[in-house]
Amino acid sequence: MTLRHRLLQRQVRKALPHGYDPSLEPLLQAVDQAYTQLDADRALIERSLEISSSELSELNATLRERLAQIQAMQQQLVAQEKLASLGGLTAGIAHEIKNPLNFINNFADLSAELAEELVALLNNGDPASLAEAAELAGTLQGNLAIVARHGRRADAIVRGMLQHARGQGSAHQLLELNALVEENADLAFHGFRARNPQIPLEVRKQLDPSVRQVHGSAQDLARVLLNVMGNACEAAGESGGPGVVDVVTQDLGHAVQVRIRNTGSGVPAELSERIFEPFFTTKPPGSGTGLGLSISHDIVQSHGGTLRLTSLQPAEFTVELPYPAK
Amino acid sequence: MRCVLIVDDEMDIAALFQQRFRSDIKAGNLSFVFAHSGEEALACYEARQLDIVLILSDIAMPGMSGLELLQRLKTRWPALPVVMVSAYGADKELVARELGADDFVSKPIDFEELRAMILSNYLRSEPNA
Repeated sequence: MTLRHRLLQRQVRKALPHGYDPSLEPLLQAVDQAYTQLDADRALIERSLEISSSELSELNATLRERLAQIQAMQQQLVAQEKLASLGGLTAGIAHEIKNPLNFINNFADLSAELAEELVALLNNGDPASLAEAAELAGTLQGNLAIVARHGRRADAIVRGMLQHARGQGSAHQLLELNALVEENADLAFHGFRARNPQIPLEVRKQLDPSVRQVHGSAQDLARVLLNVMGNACEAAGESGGPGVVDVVTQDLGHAVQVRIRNTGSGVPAELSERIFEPFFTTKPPGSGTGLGLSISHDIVQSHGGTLRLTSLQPAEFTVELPYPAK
Repeated sequence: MRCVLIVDDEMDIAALFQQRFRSDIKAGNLSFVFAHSGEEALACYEARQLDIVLILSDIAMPGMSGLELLQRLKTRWPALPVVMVSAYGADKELVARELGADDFVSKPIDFEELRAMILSNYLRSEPNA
């Protein structure tokens, strides 16, 4: 018996313990070859599987590494974008601040010169000189007021920028939006009337009683409402009035909507795309930083809502804030 | 008295120029008048109640820009000297000169330089008929 395959040998010995007819030999050889070939094939398959398996884990390791790299790059991009946006803000700040700084420097220098002239006049002592000295003193006081004003203006610009960059950190809680709207509508109204007692203005509120609570920062949302409604009051009263601001809240089912409309001259079409830009303003220099709407927009967005200019004429802004998920 | 019209939307510009040029004003060399917008400037010059021999205008202003004012002034009164002032750089200067600006001054204004320029412009030009 010249069977090579051990298993087959055992099986044959077991099945044919007393030997077998030589005529079986060719069959047994054929089976022996088949078994041997099968073993070889199995070994081949096992080896292939091993290789595949180790290749797979190598590939896995590589993928994990790549994923980590991509995540690191993503973080870098976010950081860069923040920096770029901050860079843009910084460039805007630098430009905005140049004007007040220019006045501060000029009037400080002028005041130093005038102070010297004042001393000379006082030393002269004659009535004409003293009269001129008094006039100079008045000019000096005026200059100091100008310096202080532009110093505060520069400060406001920087503060505004920091607030914009810092984002919102106030705690979130469940809020009665109608109450917030009402409170800030009144604030906006009284603020306007205090500044412009001679301009007739009316703020009309229409608050939907079925408006439910929203989740958010009372401080930040109040700021948004006061900003938009304050702007509306200013616009309504621009041509001397009488002006009307309409504030309407509505339950949309999935969200609450606040519409603020005013009877002013509206928003020109060519400006409508720019109004939410940081520093964009149509007001003269010194009155506001031009950051109000931009910050308001960011605040509303961070609450998962939208702040949009929904009509040019009459000008209307719409805030939508989603209700908290059930 | 020969007059320079300053156009700038900043309100404190008037006090600034009146103090910077206080000796010239006192000596009767020249006087200043101020407009805070392009529209105001045009109205002021059109009224011709003062003998305005030079207009000095900021470029960046809400409403009518300084460059638009420059264009309108030069179209109607080509001989009227107009000098532009700006915090921006070289590219605005190019546009201003192309539109006919007689000169360009950058912010922050060097008042000694400006005085020299105004006195030479002022001495050069005749009152507009």
